[in-house]
Amino acid sequence: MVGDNDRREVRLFPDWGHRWPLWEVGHGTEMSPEDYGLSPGLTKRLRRWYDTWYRETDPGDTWNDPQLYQKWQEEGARLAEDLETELGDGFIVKYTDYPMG
Amino acid sequence: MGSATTAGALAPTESDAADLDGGFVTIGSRTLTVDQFIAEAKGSAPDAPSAGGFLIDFPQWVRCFSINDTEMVIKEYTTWWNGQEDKKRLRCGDSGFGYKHIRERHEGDWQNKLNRITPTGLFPNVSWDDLMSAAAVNALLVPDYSQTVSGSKRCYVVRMGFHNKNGTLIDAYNVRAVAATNSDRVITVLPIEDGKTLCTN
Repeated sequence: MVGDNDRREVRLFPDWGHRWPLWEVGHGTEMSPEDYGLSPGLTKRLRRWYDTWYRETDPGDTWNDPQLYQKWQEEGARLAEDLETELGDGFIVKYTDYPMG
Repeated sequence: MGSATTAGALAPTESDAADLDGGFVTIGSRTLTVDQFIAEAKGSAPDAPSAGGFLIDFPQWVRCFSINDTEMVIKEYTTWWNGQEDKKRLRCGDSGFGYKHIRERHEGDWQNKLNRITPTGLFPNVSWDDLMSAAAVNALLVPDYSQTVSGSKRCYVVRMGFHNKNGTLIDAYNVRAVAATNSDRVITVLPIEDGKTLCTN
């Protein structure tokens, strides 16, 4: 069992200029599914989740569709859980979403 | 999706006659002393201390974090595009853009970079956001590369090299700044590790 202090912290959030919503300080900062050997299924969901955010939002603006925003938020939380499961015991995933605006 | 271009900025060329006694920073054709590099980062805050953590002062902090004045300007940067000077502004922002976004999402990235330099004594009394702001000055003023992102944003990248007083390279990395093209907002600024994509649209 790996203690919390020994776990690598992966952060899950989308940002402009980096096409995967994966970040890890001290291990390259901007990470991709290949860096962690993630499954094709989870990779596809991460891609879709990022693309939805990219398509639907602008910095400082609100999402046009509150229901889509709600679904996007919920999928983010699920992705964080599934990502932590795939990464295994040595990792902790922190999910930080964006407000609707 | 935006089209990729090479850096099209027409920034003024500059070769500062830098006093290199205490280490220096190279950014493209620019060579700045550490003091010059950090002095450029200083924000609009009149009450900010003169050394270290001087991007934002206490009254601005209150306006940004207690009153949530999203549009408060912390720092104005100059950029050039097609021969035209333009101003981009680091505003208080929210979790999606500006100072709050950078603080929430990328403070650790910047602190990690600062931690690699400070043991050498090159940057005494400098905080992560001073380094971030100094990097933003140069990414927007003299980008090595820029491209449109998502139609209404532009990504600027510049490489910075940090040298000690003997001229030894201590650290070098690229910096990405993303700014809106349909407003004056600076959206994000972060360091990029070598081998990573400079900008993705």
